[in-house]
Amino acid sequence: MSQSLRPYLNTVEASLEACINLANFPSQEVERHNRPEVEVDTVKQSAELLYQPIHIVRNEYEKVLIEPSVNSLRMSIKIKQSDEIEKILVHKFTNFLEQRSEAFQILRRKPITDEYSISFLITNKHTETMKSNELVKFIIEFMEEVDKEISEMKLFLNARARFVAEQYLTEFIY
Amino acid sequence: MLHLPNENLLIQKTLYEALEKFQQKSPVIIDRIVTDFDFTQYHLTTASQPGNEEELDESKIVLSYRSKAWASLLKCADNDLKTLTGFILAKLQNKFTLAPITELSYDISILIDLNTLDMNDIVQLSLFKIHVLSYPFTKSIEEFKNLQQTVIQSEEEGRIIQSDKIYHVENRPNQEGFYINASSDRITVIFNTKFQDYNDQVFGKVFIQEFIDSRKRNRAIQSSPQVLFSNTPPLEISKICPPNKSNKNEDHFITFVLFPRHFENKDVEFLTIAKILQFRNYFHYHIKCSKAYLHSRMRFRVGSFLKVLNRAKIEDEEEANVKKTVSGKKMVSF
Repeated sequence: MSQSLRPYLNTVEASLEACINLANFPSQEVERHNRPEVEVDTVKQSAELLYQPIHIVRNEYEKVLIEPSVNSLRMSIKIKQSDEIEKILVHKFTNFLEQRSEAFQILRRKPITDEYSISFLITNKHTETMKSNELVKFIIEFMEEVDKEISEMKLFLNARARFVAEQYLTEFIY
Repeated sequence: MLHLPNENLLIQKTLYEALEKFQQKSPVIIDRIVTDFDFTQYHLTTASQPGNEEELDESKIVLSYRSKAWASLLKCADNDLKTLTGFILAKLQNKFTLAPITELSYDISILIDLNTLDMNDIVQLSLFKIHVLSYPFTKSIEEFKNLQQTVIQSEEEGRIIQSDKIYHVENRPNQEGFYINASSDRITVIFNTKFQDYNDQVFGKVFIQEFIDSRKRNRAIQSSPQVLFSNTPPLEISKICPPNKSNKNEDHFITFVLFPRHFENKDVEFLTIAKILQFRNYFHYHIKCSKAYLHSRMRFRVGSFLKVLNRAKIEDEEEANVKKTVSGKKMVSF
């Protein structure tokens, strides 16, 4: 792992740990409703239930946005994509995960904006059934692994292309 | 499977079975449609008796061939059907004749006599597509030899004459195909390929780059044809292929420069032509393969992420407090 990645992940981890302090909180607006406050329509949102969003930026390609609230927290990650291939791979991979978001529970079906690659939504229900420190660990591991996976896939693609090309051209040697 | 085989296995198998049964005196009636790359289709049928359509002649098989490339091949042969069919029959060592009637909607039908068929013929017939498409190549090689002679006779060293004939074969829809142009020291084959999918296009770029670079990097394959790439039509074919104005990135021109050593004798010539004809399919096939691999890899990754997430789940401790009645109803004690 590169030197600058560790402090970045440490900061994300610490911020997440601070924000994951969630409690059950029914809606103030609508009776018998209980929904994640970060996901409520911006017009109907009550300012006192939302906390200050946190931006953690490593460089222009990688950043994290954490939006905490009283009963839920939303976290968006922009995964590094420095060229066209990485862009495609990240897009494919996040799509793949999002299609399986039922199994992942805390995964959001779509990132909040196009700016980010993937978003997580953790509500008080999740922290009640899962250990919150393990959840944080999962997200940190996810961030580490995704970068590794993307660069490995890219290397694989190049290696395969090289092999295929060489094998084809070898056929012309008589 | 790394390399795509040149021969069509299904044709081989069909003919082999037919021959075997015929030799065992229990001939079978066949009617089989076989497809191949580049919108090629074959139809193998038992021939009917000459003069009597109803009766079948079990000792003969008609092989009909249809392909998208036929129209442009005819153009290469100056619209002379006889030249082209003559060429194809010669490629099959003149062992077969044209069927009396070309089957409807097919381009060429040949008659195969099971009495004289042998194993080598079956192999040659399974290479039918390559034999057909090798026509413009053979013409170019002839031209190349003439031009080379002209240069030698003119005693001007270093002079290069370029043939003004460009053979264009369109073997796929959307103007995909290849161009062949001969000159006195080389033959240039230019493929025009398009990608329907943006992702394929990006992957394709990686592959093309490796085709270009691997020859420079690997000393062992330096005698292979030179590969060049551009998005605009190369100069050799700019006369007949105007640049695509609407979308510049859509066209991909991949040039192979064949040197005299790639067609110095008949065997080498055949291998080169077969390999070159296989290029587009090989190229696209491997792009698809890589995508499939990446997909399965992602699938595996998702599984491993799920495992990590499941670690976070709190074990269901309440399970101990749940008791079931005889009828299966749950009783929960608090």
